[in-house]
Amino acid sequence: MTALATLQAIAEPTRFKILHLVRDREMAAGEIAQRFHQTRPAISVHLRILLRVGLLSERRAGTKRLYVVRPEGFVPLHGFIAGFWDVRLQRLKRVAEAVEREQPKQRRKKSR
Amino acid sequence: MSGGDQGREVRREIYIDAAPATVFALLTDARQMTRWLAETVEADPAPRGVFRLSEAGGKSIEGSYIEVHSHPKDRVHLGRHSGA
Repeated sequence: MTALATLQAIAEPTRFKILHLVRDREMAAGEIAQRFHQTRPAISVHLRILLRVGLLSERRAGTKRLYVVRPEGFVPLHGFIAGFWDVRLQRLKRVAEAVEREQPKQRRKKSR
Repeated sequence: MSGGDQGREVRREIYIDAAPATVFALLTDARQMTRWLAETVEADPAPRGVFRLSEAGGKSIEGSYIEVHSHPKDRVHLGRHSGA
């Protein structure tokens, strides 16, 4: 899943709230719908979008379907943010490794 | 410039395939710091020593070294005072 698809799934007020609701506990679709002034089908559409990008997981229990946040779904977004956040550190890494390659091998022995 | 940033700590980790001394120099030697950190760098790498970074666009950051250990850990701990 791409960071863009993940962001688009999150960046909608109802879905944003749903993610908070099921962050650390499972909830049935009906129970989620009760928290919003929206119809069950409308909530189902939101749940399907969140499921599709992997931000939620779904489990059947009898006649109910239970939903909960799937933390792994946030990995693409985390990578996206880190790419901006760590620009300088990445530059340090690149330069240090380049310096290291330029240096005679002998010096590396002292590295530990 | 005091107080505002208190309690806000940012911690990042990165793996660098280079000798600690190489990385240490890039964090403490002003001339080497210009290779990755900013266009102009002033650095006094000692506890409470100040570093100033600035870019041509006028962006500047000032902070100080909190801890500097060259051996055996090659460790540098930087704190930021202000940025604009």
